[in-house]
Amino acid sequence: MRLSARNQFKGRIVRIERDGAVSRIWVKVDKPGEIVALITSDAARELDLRRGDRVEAVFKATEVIIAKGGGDGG
Amino acid sequence: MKVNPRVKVWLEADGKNLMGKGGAAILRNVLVEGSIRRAAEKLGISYKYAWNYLRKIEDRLGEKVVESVRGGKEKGKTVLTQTGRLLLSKYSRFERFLNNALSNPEMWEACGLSIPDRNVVPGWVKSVEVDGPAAMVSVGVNRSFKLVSVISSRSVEDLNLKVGDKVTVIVKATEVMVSKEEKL
Repeated sequence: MRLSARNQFKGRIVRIERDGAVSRIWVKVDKPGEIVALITSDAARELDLRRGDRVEAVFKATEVIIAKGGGDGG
Repeated sequence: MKVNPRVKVWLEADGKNLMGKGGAAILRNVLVEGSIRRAAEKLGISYKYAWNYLRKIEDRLGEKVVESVRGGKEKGKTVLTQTGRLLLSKYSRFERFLNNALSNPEMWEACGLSIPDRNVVPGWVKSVEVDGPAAMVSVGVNRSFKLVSVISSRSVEDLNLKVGDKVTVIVKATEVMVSKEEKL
């Protein structure tokens, strides 16, 4: 399946934390590190997500916020 | 240690402190009790303190906020003038609005504070392509890794985004999808 999203990062699941209806999935991507996804626990079950799985973290460019200046942005 | 943000509300007149929480409490209790003395008792403060506080407001404002009823059935009672009632309602409205905002997590998100479950990555602007109302901004995270952001051209202008700028990229965790190859 091909997706339109501009941000797609291949990686491996390093940690899963179920929290009721949602689950946090930490994906270790090759660079720059980890991306955390908060998805429904239903979806996590459906995809049978487990630690060590090869997955892809995907998000649309319109969801990427840019901050500049202030405290630590420089 | 749990750290919580708090706010204080006070009203100013021409840049001078007019009244804060204490003043609002005095006005509120005068309104209910009909007497400065009983209002002070209720608040556990001295009559003199309450009276001075009200005088200070009136001096700064140049208007009365409380007055004694001269005749009739309510003779001797202290009531709020229209200005006093206006001040109290202004203060209360503002305080209520802020308290609502404080208990609203979306407000904190709007400030970029304490958003749980988000991805925050520092980087630098690699390219900015403004095209109509939207702009595409590439942010380098390291030499071989970049993120793409589409924001409004207005934001590019507001942030004065230029190639080379140091920026922080934020992606809420709820916006990240996970895709997994089907097992063969």
